[in-house]
Amino acid sequence: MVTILSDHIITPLADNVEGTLQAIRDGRSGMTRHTDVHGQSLMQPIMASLLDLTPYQQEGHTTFENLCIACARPAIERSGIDATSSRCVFILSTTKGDIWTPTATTARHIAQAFGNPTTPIVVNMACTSGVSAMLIASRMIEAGIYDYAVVIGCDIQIELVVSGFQCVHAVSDDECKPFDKNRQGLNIGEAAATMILTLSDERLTCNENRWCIMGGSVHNDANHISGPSRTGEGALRCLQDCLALVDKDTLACVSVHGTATDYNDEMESIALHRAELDDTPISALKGYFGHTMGAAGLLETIITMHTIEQGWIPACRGYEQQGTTYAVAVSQQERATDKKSFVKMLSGFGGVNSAIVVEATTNSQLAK
Amino acid sequence: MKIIGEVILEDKDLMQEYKELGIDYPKFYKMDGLSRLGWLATEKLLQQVGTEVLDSERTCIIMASKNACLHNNRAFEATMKDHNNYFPSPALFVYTVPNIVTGEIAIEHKLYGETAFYELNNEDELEPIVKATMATGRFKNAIVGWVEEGSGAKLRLVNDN
Repeated sequence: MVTILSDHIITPLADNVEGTLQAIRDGRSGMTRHTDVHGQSLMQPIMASLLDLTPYQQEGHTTFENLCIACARPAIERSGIDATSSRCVFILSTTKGDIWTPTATTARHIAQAFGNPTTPIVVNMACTSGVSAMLIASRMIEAGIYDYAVVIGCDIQIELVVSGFQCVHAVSDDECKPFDKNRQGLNIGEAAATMILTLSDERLTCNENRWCIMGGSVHNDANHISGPSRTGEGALRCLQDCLALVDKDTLACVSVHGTATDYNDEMESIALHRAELDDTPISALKGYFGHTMGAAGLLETIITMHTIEQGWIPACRGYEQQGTTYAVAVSQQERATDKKSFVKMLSGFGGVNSAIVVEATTNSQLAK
Repeated sequence: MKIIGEVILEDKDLMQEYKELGIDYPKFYKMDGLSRLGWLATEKLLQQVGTEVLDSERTCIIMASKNACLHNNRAFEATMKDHNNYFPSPALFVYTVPNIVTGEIAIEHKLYGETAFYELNNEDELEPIVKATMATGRFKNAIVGWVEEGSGAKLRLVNDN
């Protein structure tokens, strides 16, 4: 198990955790209608949550690299780790990176900006990349290959991706409605999120809670390359693996993928029902900042962690009435919680699903 | 980890390779170049080691590449470059993420275990990732290797021991 030493996020709502949490609490979203994506004109306008990239357009690095560097820097500084150490690895979760440059090269530039000498790892497992990146980071640390991991999730949107989601009819003309009866698809989003990980050790903990990644898994649906399984095969297996690591009564929530496409939300409701998680609170965050692709796993984990720490589960923005075969415990109201663990789950193209258990631990728990 | 079998496949005449394989799998024709390469190399590997080694829950697929789905991204981009002649293809869009190749293999062999894809500089960089993945003890074996469209594939079957 690994400990999350620090984190940082940059979203269209704010360039930090605090501001983003406040916007969520206020019920604001980053969604606006766009006729272009960062200057690339679109055939059809789109409702999307896009970043102002102007601060990241500086010489020396690409905009994508600058955004990743700007997101990683505060997290690295707060963690106190030595990013120049050969015991520290950079792991990048992205579906596109700088699309016409090999992402391994891009990741190298990001690591070098911090004087890091090791070879970075890029995880590209479609929309599940973020959770999968946290998992491989945990495994590398647990296997003793590295002591620290800087895990960055980021995607900047481009016409290619927007047109692609439009042509598969997965996007909503309006703000997305996860799990709602009238949901019409996803909103494209973009963000950057960083997490610093190290092996869990009682010496790390003082009086306060420390958030740890207890474990998790990746499973394929073995069903279809783009559509999710009708029976939620892969997601069910991921949830079952998580429930072997944590008692479901101690879960504050399952933070689902909740893209607001017909098929995804339906599949998740089936998997949650089959895993007997019908009564566990479900949190779906994409109504606030859309589908942030490679950033989604890290961003949504970080937000869930901080809201639970403060004792609340965000309202599911856009949800009004049950729209899946099985009722999942999703709510349009903010809910209070005193529990200190959750599951983060994602699904994506390639039939891939992934989930992790994140839990706040104290010294006494670690000492056991 | 113990290496059970290994296959090296050059990315040329894949249609001929497919015919020589003697497997009737119509989905092959729909695949992008990266998936065809990875799928064919996997089939050749399985002809060598036998499909009975596969475990529907505990076989893992880990692939990596430098240029990933670059070729397919270019092909998809070409369909939407000209707004007066605009025909983005859903079939091409699906292949604009590289892990689809692992999904194709999982679908054919009904593998519900882990499928993973990494973008790296070279195949040596995959070693520690495979080591860390197998060290979890979750997997009986794994199909692992490098798939580079326009160049070739090098796959192995590794056993946990």
